Formats: sequence, structure tokens, C-alpha cells
Amino acid sequence: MNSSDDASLVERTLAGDQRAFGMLARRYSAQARRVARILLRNPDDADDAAQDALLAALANLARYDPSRPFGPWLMRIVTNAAIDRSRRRTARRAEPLHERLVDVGEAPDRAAQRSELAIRLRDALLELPERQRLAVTLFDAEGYSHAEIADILRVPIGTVRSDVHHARRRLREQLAEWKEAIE
Amino acid sequence: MTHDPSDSERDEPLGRALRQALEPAGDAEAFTDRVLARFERPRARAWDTLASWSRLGVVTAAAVALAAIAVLSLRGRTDVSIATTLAASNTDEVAQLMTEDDSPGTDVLFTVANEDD
Repeated sequence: MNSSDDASLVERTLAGDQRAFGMLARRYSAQARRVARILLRNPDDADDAAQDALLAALANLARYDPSRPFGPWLMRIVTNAAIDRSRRRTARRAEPLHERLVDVGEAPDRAAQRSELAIRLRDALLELPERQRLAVTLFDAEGYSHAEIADILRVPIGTVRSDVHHARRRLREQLAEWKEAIE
Repeated sequence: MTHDPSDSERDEPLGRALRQALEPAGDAEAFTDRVLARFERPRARAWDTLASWSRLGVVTAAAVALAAIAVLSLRGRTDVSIATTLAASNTDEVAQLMTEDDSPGTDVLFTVANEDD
């Protein structure tokens, strides 16, 4: 993702170019949905949180500092939106996560194995404290640096390193039997 | 706490597996379209408000126009009444002035009638 390109899209959006916001939304929506889903069991809730976050980002776009990367700024809003929704949903009974993820074109047994792995991985993530979940996913899955994650989570960089370390260790332990499938 | 030197490097297989596990089930394009539709809605609301204002404006203008017509017709009726009175004085000049399309005001008719007297 090109951060200068992002800054230019932000500038164009602020100037009233609606298509520029569309491009930003398309660029970040998949990531926003994945990050929201780290914190919300229900995929629809996660999508709602991601949607709220994208609209909140748009409403506050003038407050974004274009000298800094856009992704971490947006992901901070996404995590806040997801945490907020998660807190409000605590009274509601959690729905099971077990559904889908079958890549079209894969052999059925392989697809089933990957689907099963996805379920196990989501369950394993849910065993982790929220911050560790976010840290490991933002680092390993979304490619953010420790410094950027520290900025997103508003914690010292050492805390992020520690969270990633512990989260990886616990995920690897729980998924030891799936090592082959992961690699 | 001990840090593994590999902590600074990404665990690509784990990252890929996490992305797949968290990948949303729904159509990405449909999701973005929904966001953009919600982005559009406040603008639509603004236009609706403006449209309601303009509807209110049309209603107000119509009311003002009706009121103006009513006032003018009242004034017209007064003119006719005075004109009829003047016409009864058999002054041809006044009668002619009254029947013209761009008939003058009652003050002119009075002046003409008084001159005749």
C-alpha cells in the first residue's frame, strides 16, 4: 500500500472528490473487516463495526495527519469501533463462529482441512487476550510494524513485541497438529 | 520475558493462515457499495431538507399570491363601486376612462369628474 497515494486520496476526498473516498474504502475494507473480526465473534457485527469505522474515518478525515501513514490511523478507528461494539454486545449471547471458508477450485479434502484450520485458528485467537490478538494479527497478517501497532493500540513498542511473542507461542502450541496445513 | 530473534520478522505462514481464518464471507464489493451508499445518505438527506424548504417556499409564495389577488380584487371592487357612482353622473369622459383596459385610479376619475362639475 502506497502511503503517499493514500494521502493524495485523502486530500482529494477532502476537496469533495467522492470517487477518491470510494477508492480508499475499496483499498482498506477487507483489512478493516478482518481486524474488526479479531474482536467480534459475529461476522455481521464485525462488518457493521468496519462500516462504522470507515464512515467515522470519513467524518474525521480533516483530523488525519497526511505526513503519517493512513493505514494505522484507520486501523485505530476500526479497533475502537470493534471494541465499542463488542462491549455493547456483551449482554447478547455469542453466536458460533463455525462457518465457511472454502476456496473454490481446491480439492474437497484440502478445502475441508483449511476450513477446519480456520475454525481452530479463530477459536485459538479467542483464547488470547484482546490486545495480543490484535498485535499478532496486525503484525503477521496485516504487515504493520511494531511501531505502527504501538500507535494503533496506544501502548509502548515493547508491549507490542511482548504481545506478539506470547500470542505466537500460544497459537503455535494450540495449532501444533496443524503445522503442516499452515505451512 | 525473552525475545526470540525471529520476533522481529513476520511469520508468513501464520499470517497467511490468520488472514484466511478472518477473511469475511460476504462479497467485498457489496460491502464497499453498502459503505458508499451510507456515505451518500447524509447528502441525500441534505437535498431532501432543501427540497422541503423549496416546497415550503412554493406554498408560501402561493399564499402570498392569493393574498395579493384578494387585496387587488377588493381594491378593484372599490374602484368599480366609485366608478359606478361616477358613471351615474353621466359624464361621458369619465365613462370612457372607466371602460378602458388600463383605466386610471379613482383619484384621476374624481379629478376628471370634478373638472366636469
